[in-house]
Amino acid sequence: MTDSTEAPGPGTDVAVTDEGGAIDTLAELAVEPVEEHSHPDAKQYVLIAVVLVIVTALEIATSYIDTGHTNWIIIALGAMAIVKFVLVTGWYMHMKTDHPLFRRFFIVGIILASIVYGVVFMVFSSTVLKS
Amino acid sequence: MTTVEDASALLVPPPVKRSILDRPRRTTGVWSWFTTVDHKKIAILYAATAMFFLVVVGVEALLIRVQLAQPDGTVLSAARYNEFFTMHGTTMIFLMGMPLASAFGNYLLPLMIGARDVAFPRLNMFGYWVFLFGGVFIYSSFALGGAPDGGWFGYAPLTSTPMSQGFLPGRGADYWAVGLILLGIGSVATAVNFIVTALNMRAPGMTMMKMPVFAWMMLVVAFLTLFAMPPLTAALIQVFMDRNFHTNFFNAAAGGDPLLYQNLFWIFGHPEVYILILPGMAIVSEILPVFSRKPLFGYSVVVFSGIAIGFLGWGVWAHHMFATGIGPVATSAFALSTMLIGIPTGVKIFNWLATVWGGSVRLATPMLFALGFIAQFTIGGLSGVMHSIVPADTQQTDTYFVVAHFHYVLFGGLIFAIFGGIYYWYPKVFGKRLDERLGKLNFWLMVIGFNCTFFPMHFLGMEGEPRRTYTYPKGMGWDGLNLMATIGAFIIALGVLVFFVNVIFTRMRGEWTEEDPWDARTLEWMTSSPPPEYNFDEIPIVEHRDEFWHRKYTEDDEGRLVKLPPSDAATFPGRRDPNEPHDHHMPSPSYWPLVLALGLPVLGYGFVFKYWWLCGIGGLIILFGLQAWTSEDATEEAH
Amino acid sequence: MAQSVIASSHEVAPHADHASETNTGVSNNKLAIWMFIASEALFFGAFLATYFLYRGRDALFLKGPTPADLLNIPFTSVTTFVLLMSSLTMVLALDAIRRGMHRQFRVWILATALFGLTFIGGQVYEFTEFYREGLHLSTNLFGSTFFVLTGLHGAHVVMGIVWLLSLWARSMQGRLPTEKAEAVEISGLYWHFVDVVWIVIFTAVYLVPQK
Repeated sequence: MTDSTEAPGPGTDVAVTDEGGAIDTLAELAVEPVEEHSHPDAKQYVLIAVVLVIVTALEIATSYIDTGHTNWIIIALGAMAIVKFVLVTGWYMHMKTDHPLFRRFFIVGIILASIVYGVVFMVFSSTVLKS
Repeated sequence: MTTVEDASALLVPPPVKRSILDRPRRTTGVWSWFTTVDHKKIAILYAATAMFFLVVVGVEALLIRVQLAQPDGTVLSAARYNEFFTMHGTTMIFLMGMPLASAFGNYLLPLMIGARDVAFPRLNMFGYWVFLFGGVFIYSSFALGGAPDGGWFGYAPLTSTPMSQGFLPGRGADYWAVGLILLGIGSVATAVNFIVTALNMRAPGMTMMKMPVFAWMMLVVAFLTLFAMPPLTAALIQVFMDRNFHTNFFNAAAGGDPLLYQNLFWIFGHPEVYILILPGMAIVSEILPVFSRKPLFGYSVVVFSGIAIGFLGWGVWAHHMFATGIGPVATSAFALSTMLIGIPTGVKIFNWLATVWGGSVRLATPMLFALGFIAQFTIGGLSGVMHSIVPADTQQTDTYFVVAHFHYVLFGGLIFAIFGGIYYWYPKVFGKRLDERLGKLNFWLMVIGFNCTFFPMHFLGMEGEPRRTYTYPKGMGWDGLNLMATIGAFIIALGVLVFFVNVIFTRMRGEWTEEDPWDARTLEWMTSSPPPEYNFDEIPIVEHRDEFWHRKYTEDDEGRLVKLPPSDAATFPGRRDPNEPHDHHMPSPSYWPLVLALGLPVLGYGFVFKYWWLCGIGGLIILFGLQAWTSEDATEEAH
Repeated sequence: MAQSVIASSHEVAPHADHASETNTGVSNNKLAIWMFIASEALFFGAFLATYFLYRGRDALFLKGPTPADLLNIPFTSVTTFVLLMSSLTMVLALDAIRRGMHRQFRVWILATALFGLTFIGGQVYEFTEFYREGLHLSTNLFGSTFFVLTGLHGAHVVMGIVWLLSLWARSMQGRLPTEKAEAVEISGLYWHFVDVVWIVIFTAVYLVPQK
């Protein structure tokens, strides 16, 4: 719902502390060359995609392994999922190269969610779901 | 001077003239209230609508109290009683408490940080419409299928059993689930708005630690909202699916577990109470320094306590579930975390007291409410700590003791803070101070009425009166205190009536007050009362916490306050005509927040009645609204 | 032309230098979408947690079709691959519009939308197959948790596709110049997030072995 397709400008929706500023930011965007080197280029993106496919293939192969040690399988799968997660968020979503603010909030959020839902899981495992 | 208008023609691509309506321009007049994107107008809308719901919820409460004034009451049937206490709780939380916090946040956050508006003005307005339509949607249930009657918390499987098989007649539970999901959308939108505003739009020089405590607390509240709404939405979707599609999330016969619902709900529900109370604490943290003529004691500590409460609040939710059989390990862990969260809360209380101590105290109405907050919130907090002791809670839970606890913190706390805030900022918003004598009468009636109503409930609870029950039999020994509580409720009503009389009286007869009537400390008082649309002529450069105060006063060698000679930096232009032309380019009004928001109740009714075609229409309205919103021309300013 | 605008901004607020830039240096829109994504993470987390909590319980209650009976890993691997590729085309689309290569942008973003549609097609096929095999929303816990979790994910993908197509349409109309590239970046962030959620679902629901 955010106003993402409209350029900042006079009278637009992105209110700023100083009304000329929106134009400043706009000017920066058009002129700013420094940003470029912090974005991976097309080749790197494709490389990451290849890695993603390989990891996925490995995951699928792992899931077919028939062994009694399912815990190890789960850990391996989890690790691979995390690798893919980090690749997509870090590089495709630019979290690695963007402002550290994002990373901090994101990690805090992930930890919070993991703890909260982890606790729910533990509360459950120890009580009613035991049959 | 090159006007920005000329340059804008060069920069913005030639607008594609839409075949529908051009973006509106008027910022005055009745219609402008439907299309405004000005955070101040939106705040007033939030507040006025919330105060309307206050009256509604007060009537519900009075009826409940009349029913309970005597044993074996016959005023309300059991079914009707269930609807009333459900709607009372739901309305108080979602249609009164949170919107009022939004109102204060909306009005004050930009002003306090020296911004001209919030980050996303149209999204802001959208949030308001969602609130209004959500409220109307939920209340329409009284006439269109039955009001929610499963409690404001809607425990499964009572609410999740399909309508044909369950014990809750009518569609109330569907209205409740769908309505809360809709309201949640507005809350999250506003939360995102506040976060981005507070992080990105502060005036030059205003570091985070120079922000007023109010701004900090609203930021914490926004984060809490952002993360607390999703689990609630998930739980509500699961309830709705169970009810309408026979899924098995909470169906014990299939292995589903109603406790899952409680976990998810309270993962939302506990942060929710901090979402409710932190704005009250924020308001009090602003009032006390002004009326003690002393800075807030231990600003950093108060800020960090607020953040700590925000974090710790995620770790206490199962204290609402102590009596559900989750086992000793879980209950002990949550008991500990609940006790722990009392610490930052207590720290704040001590800091407030230390703020007032030794100050030059003026007992004007805002200050009275703030002091009332401290006393009553503390009492409520103490009964909360009592709840954290698991064996004691096993007796207290589901009794009136709990009712007493949360009314002390939410009414004696939050509502008192809100009234204090209204009295404090009224001159800023409307240019006139509310009458002081009526204000004091308002305060005293509310204090007496409130304590008369809710203090006896501690005893009633300890003596075993259960909550959420439409009547009680004779001979339990509860009659006297219940009658007292009912009388108290009417005294409260009288107090609220005095408030509305005060508002009307002030509107008709009140005098325009000076710009800085309270000799205040923060940036919002540095502009005219009421502020112009663009808030500040010049965005101030901030060098201190309590920047405004430092422009008015300094301290001599002995630490005594010395008033500085009036300077440009500390004076402000006189009262402004809102129609006065100006150069500041503010976002133009817009229709699309309204249109987009309209799609939501349409969708809602479609889900409640399972008219999928209606859902389709709602979806189309939303799609259309989104397209139009994002294509909207950047027009010139309204003036 | 930027000069004259900046000049006038100084006139309006002569003391405020760079007040226009955001305090964090991050654009409002970008910060907003990240906040929204964080919120969505909690949302999907709740349904994932629900799925995990109820996993395997059907054996003790209503029985009915189990994941082992129905989940078709080879098939879902293909749809997963398609969705992963859509993330690649998404970043390529962003790259293209940033460099002013609008026709390429349109190709890549359309490709992204089409890959997304393919994924949805796969989901629809899978759902109908499961339905045919006797798994309904109400059959057992697996039916409820699986369909709601993946269904909600699918709904998010559909909304993303609509978003992407509207950007494509706008570009076709000439209303998406390079200055507005951020709009693409923001839609990309949403799209990648939806992909990341699927990464988690695919691993957790399909690949983790049933006890």
